[in-house]
Amino acid sequence: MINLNLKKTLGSAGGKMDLDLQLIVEKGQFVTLFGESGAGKTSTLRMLSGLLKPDSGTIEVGGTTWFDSCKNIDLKPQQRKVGYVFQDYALFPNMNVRQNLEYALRKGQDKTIIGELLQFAELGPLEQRKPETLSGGQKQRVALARALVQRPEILILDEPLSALDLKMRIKLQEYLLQVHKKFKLTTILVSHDIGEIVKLSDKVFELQNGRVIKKGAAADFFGLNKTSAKFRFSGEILKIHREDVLYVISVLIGNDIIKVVADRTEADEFKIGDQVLVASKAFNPIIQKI
Amino acid sequence: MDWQPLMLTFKLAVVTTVILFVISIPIASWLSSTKSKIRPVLETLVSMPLVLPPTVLGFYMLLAFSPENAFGSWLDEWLGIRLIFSFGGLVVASVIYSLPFMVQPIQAGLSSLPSTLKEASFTMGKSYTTTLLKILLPNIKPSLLTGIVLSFAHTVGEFGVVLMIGGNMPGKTKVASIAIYDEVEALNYAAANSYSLILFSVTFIILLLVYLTNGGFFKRYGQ
Amino acid sequence: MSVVSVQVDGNVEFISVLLDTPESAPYLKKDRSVKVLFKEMEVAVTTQKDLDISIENRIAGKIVDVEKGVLLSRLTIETKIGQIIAILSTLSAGQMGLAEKMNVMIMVKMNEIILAP
Repeated sequence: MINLNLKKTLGSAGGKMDLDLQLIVEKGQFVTLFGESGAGKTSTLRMLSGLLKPDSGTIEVGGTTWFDSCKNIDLKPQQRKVGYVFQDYALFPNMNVRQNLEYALRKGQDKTIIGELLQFAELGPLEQRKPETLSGGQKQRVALARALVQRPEILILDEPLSALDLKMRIKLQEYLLQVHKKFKLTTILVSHDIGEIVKLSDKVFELQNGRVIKKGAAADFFGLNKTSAKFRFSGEILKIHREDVLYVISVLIGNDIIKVVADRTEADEFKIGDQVLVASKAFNPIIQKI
Repeated sequence: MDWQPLMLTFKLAVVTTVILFVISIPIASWLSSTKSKIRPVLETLVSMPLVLPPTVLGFYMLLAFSPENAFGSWLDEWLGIRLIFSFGGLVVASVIYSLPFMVQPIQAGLSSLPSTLKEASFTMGKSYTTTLLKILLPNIKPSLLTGIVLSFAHTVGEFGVVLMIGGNMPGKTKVASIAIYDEVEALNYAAANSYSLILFSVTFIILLLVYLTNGGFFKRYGQ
Repeated sequence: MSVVSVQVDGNVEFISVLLDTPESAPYLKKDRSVKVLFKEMEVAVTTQKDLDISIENRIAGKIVDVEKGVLLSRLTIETKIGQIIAILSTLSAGQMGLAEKMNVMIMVKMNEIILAP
């Protein structure tokens, strides 16, 4: 279990912000921090991993104190067992893929894990390549594999998929879920993508101005459980156009674009880019073998 | 032509550059990562030789190192080192005088690296020294080269500091730039021209190398 | 699966069939208030008062607005539970002679009704 109780004054673009939050993450959970940029999500991750020092508070992980301002305890990042995947991947440009992973080995650690991780991440054929020659999705896989070399119990993912195209994102989401289960991790993700959050996480914390303003199970959090409709998806509005007396709304769900008919009174409330829930009764769709 | 001043110049430049390289890396890495309030003060001190007349620097060093003064006599009595009018003194003076030319490129190189490289290494349990040696420095090779070459070239070209602290002792402190001055004083223009031409060519080639390298020439054909 | 009966505004009863049961969806409790949702396109309109047809939900109303499109028509119908929009083909609307101020029955099959707690 991770127990965070943090206070920190952050200098942000829009002036100062007082971060003050309490978070409890159960062992083995996949948790997402959600919220506008500048809400304190990345700072929270950095404080957990020891890269940023809180002004006051405590960090306890599995019964061990990592930080306690009253008792003057502050473990260095080197002493905290955290795998951190940075938004820019932070691959070492002077090393090839295999060397990037090997660098992460602890002193005396068995090297066989490198081969296992390269294979699991399907990076075998790329192991001699330098990071600059890799695509975004490949870099992401290297960063993730590298974060797992030390077999951390906690995996921190700071918007790991935001720079990737949709197809790669969907693929890597599956991969993240696999990794989370296979390595029995407690995973903390920062993400803005509602579909991604619902797909991946058990629990969501919404941050605003350095505080947790809402928390809940992922599906409840975004109101996806708020109707009896069982045939439901979340997506983003791509297009709204009028046809005869109706409006046709195109919604991007995963990598499919679906169309939903709406009345004028509904269409007026929507704009392009809105995140929406699309639902129908389980009785209505037809199902066919393909 | 007497080759001794030229040899002395290059010996001084090599020794100075090696010492500067070793001491500048910790200074530059501290400056690039610290949030300390005394950072601007230290940065200013490091950069002073850029703007100060070399004679000012030389004058104060002459005073400080003179055995008549406390620091100089302490060095003399306890360590047996006499820094004025000696090669050792020239090295110390050159190191101080060329410090910004080594520190600044390295500092700029380190600052230009994304901080996540360092942080990623820390979360993997690596110490700062390991991170510096295996991650940071290998990724700022062009900056290191710039620092080395600029310090070398600058040391070759110094005059005022050397004259103040080293004097003009053949074989000991008479470097090429001083030899040129001597020859001109003696109206021996041909000798002055030989020295000058050699210094000019060497410095030109060195600087050209820097620009070619950092312009990517070596990246494409070397490495 | 459950068939749920909902009183709307105290005097009209709606019936909905759900996959949920009171165990799987705790909001399925007597006297608990819920929202009733259905699409405009699922609303059938008839001019006959007692049609023998297997559509569970029906409400009487009066057409207050007709917007005729080339293919479809949008009717606004005033009922005792408020205005309901019905969308049907312009062909049907023409054959039935639907026009403003007419009294009609609207009907929705129970598998089209979504409940929202």
